[in-house]
Amino acid sequence: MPLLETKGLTKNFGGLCVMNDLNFSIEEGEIKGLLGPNGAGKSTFFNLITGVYMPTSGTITYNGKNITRAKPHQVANMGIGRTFQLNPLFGEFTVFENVTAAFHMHPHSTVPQVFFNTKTYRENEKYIAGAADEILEFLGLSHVRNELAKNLPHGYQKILGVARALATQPKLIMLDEPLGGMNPEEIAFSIDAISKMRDRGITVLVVEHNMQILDILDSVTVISFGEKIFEGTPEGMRQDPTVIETYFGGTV
Amino acid sequence: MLGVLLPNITVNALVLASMYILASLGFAFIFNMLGSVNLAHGAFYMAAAYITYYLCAKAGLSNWVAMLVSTMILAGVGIVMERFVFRPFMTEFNRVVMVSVAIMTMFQQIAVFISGSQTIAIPPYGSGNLDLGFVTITNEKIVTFAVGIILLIIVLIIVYRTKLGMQMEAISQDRLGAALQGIPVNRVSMLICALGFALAAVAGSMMGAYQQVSSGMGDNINVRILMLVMLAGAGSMNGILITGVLMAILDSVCPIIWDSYTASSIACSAVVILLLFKPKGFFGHDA
Amino acid sequence: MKNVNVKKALPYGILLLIALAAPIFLHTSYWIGVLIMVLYKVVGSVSLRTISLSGTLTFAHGAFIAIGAYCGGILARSLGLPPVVTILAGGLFAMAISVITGLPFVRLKGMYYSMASMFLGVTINYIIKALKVTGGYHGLTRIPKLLQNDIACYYVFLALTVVLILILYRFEFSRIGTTLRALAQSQDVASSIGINATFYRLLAVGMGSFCAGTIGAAYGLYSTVLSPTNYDMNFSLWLLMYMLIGGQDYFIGPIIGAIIFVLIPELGRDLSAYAPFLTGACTLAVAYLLPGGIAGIPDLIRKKKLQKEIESPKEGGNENASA
Repeated sequence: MPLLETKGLTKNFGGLCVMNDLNFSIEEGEIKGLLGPNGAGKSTFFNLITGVYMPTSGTITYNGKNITRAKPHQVANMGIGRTFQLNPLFGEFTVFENVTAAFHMHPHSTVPQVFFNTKTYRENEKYIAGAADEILEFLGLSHVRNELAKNLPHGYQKILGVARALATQPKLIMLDEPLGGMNPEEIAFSIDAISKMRDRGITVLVVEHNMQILDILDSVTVISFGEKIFEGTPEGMRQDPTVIETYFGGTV
Repeated sequence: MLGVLLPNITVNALVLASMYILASLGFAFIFNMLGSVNLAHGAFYMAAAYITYYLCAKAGLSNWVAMLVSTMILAGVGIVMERFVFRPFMTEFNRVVMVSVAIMTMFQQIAVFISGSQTIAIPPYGSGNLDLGFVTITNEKIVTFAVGIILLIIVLIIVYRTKLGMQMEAISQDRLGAALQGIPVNRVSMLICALGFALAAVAGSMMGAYQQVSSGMGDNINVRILMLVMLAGAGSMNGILITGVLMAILDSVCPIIWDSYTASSIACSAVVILLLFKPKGFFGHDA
Repeated sequence: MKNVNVKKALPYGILLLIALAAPIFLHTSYWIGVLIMVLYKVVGSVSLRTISLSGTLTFAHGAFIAIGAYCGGILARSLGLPPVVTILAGGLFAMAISVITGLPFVRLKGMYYSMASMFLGVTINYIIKALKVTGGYHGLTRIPKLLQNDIACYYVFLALTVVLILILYRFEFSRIGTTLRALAQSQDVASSIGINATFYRLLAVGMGSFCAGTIGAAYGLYSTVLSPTNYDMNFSLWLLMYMLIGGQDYFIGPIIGAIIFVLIPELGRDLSAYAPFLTGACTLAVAYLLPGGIAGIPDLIRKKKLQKEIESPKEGGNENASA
C-alpha cells in the first residue's frame, strides 16, 4: 500500500483547470521527485495535499486514511511536514525558537498542562530542546542557533524551513524547491541531508528544478499543465521522448 | 398611514444616503489607495461642520460661502494628512490608529469647548416646502439631496472617466507598479485625499444644518462610514452606493419602529451578521 | 541565569512596591478612586494585549469589560450574591460571550478582524443601552459596594490585579504565548506545523476577555453605578492606545501606558479640560518618535549604541578596502 495516494485529483480555479485527473502515489521510505515546467501545477499539488486548497474532485489517501477534506493543521498532525517555495519563516523568532515552535504536536502538552506548568509539560519542553538541537546539528545550523531567522542568509533560511518541517516529526516530508537560490556548497549539503532523511525512515517528496537532485531520487513523476506525462525512474525520465520535449524543450 | 409614511421614509432615506455616501467616499479612497484606516474621518467631518457653523454664526458669512471655505480648509488638511500620516505610515496600521485616535480626541475636546452642552445648528440651506400632493418635502431636504447627487455624479465621472481616476485605480492595485509606469503616485494620492476630505466637509456642513452640530456627530458618522465601506468591500465604489442606501434605509426605518437604542442595536447587529457571511464585503475585488 | 530573572522582575517589583505604598500618601477617597482606576485600566490593557498576541488588534475589549461589569452588577444587586461569586461570574460570562461571538470572527485576518470587532463592540454597547435589565441608557445604580472602607477596597483591587497579571504573564511566557506569536508572524507556516489557528486565537480571546470581565465586575462593585456611556467605543480605543503607546511588544508596555495616561488628567485638576490635548500630543509624539512605544526606549538606545559601534570600525574597513 502506498503511503500517499491521489486518485483523479482535479482542481479548477474558476474556469481554469490547473490539475486534471492526477493519479499519484508515493511508497513508504522512498525519495520521490515531482518535476515539471513552471506553471505545471506542482505547488498547487502541494497545497491540495496539505489542505490549503480543497480539490474540485478526486480523493487523497494517506496511510489508509482519506484526508481529502482535512484542514492544513490536521494534515500536519497526521505526519505530513512541508516547506514553502517562497519560504515564509517566523522572522522574529530565533532559529532555535523556529524549530521548537514546530514541536507543536509531538510531544503535545495540553493547554492546562502548559498553564499549570506540570511535570509532563516540563519534561516535554526538555525533550523538545534536546531534539531541536539535534535537528539543528543534523542540518548544520547549530552555529546560527540564536540568530533571528529574518537575519539569516537565504540559503540558511531555506534549510531552516526544512528543519522546521522535520521538527513536526513527519512520516512524509514535502519539500517545495529546497535548492532554489542556493550556492553550490549549500546545494551539495542539502542534497546530502535529503538523502540522509531517507535513512532516518522519512519518506521525501521533492519538487525541484535543479537537475542535480535526480541523483538521489528513487522515482520521478513529471507533470505538465496539471497532467501526468511520465512516471518511472530518473534514468527512464532522461530518455523519455515526451519529457524531453515538454521539459527540456526538445534538446539534450 | 403607510401612504404617508412611505414617501417620507423614502425622502429621508435618500437625503441620508447621499450624505453618508459623500462622507464615506473619502474614507474609501484612502483605504483603497493607501491602505490606511482613517478612524479620524468622522472627526474631520465634524470639524468641517464646526468651521461652517463658526463662520456663519461668528463671522456672519452666508452658509453657502461658509461651506465653501470650510471645504477648502479641509481639502488642505487632507493634503497635510496624506503627506504626514497616510503616506509615511502606509503599511503600519497601528501607527495610523494612534494618530487618528489622537486627532479624534483633540477635535472632540475642541468641539466640547465650542458647543458645550447647548444644541447648535448651521442655518438651513433652504426654506419653505414643496407640496407634491401626496407628500410635502422641505426645500432643505431637496437642496441637501441635490448637492449630494451632483457631487456624487462629479466624483463618479472623476473616478471612472478621467485620467486621475484611472491613475487612482492603478495605484490602488499596485502602488509600485504604478510608480514604475510613470504615474505621479504621490501627487495623485495627495489630490485624491484632498478630494475625499472636501467631500466629507461638504457632508458635514450639510448635515450640520439638516440635523445639528454636536461633539458626538463625528462618532456617529464614523461607525456608519466604517460599516458601509466594510460591507461594500475594499476597492468597490459601486458597492458604497448600494450599502450607503441600505444603511440610510435602516437608519430611517428602524427609529420609527423601535426606540433609538433598540433601533441602533438592531441595525448594527444586522451589519455584523452580514459581515460574518462576507467578511471582505459584498462587492470587493477579492470577496 | 538568576541575574537575568532578577533584572526582568525588577520593574514589576518596583511598580508593586509603589502600588503598595501609594495609599499612605494618597489616602483621600478621591485619590484612592484614581489609583483603582489605574489598576482597572492596567488589567484592561494588559488583557487586550493578550488577545492581540496573535497579531490582530481588537476594538471590542471595552464591551467585554462592560459585559463583565453588568453581569457582576446585576447578580450582586438582584440576587445579593457575595463579591467573590459575582466577580468570577462576570469574568466567566464575558469569556463565554467573547468565545461565542469570537467563533466566527477569529477566521478574519488583520484589519478585517479589527473592524469586525469594532462593530461588535458598538453593537454590544447599543444592546446594553437598549435592554431593560441593564438599566438602559441611564445605567445600573445601587450596586452593593465591595467594601465600605476605600483603602481596603484598594488593596483587594491590588491583589486581584496582581493575580490577573500573573495569570496573563504565565499565559504569555509559556508555549501558548509562543504559539500565538508564531500565528501572528505567519498563519500559513503555523498551520503547516500543526497549529490550529482558530483554537489558539479563541483561547487568547477567551483568556483576555475573562480577565477583562473579572476586573470589570470588580470595578462595578467598587463604583456602585454603571453607565453605558463609560463603555463606549472611546473606552475600547483608549485601552488599545495604552497598549500601543506603552509598547505592544513588551509585557510591561500596556502597564506603563495605562499608568501614564490615566494619571495625565490628574496632573492639574483645574486644567483637566485641557488633558485631551496633552494625551493627544503624547500619542502623536510616540507615534512619530518611538515606534516601539515607551517600553521600547531601552531597546532603542541599545540599538543606536550598537549601530554606532558597528559603523565606526566599518568606516576604517572601507578605507582599507579602497587602499
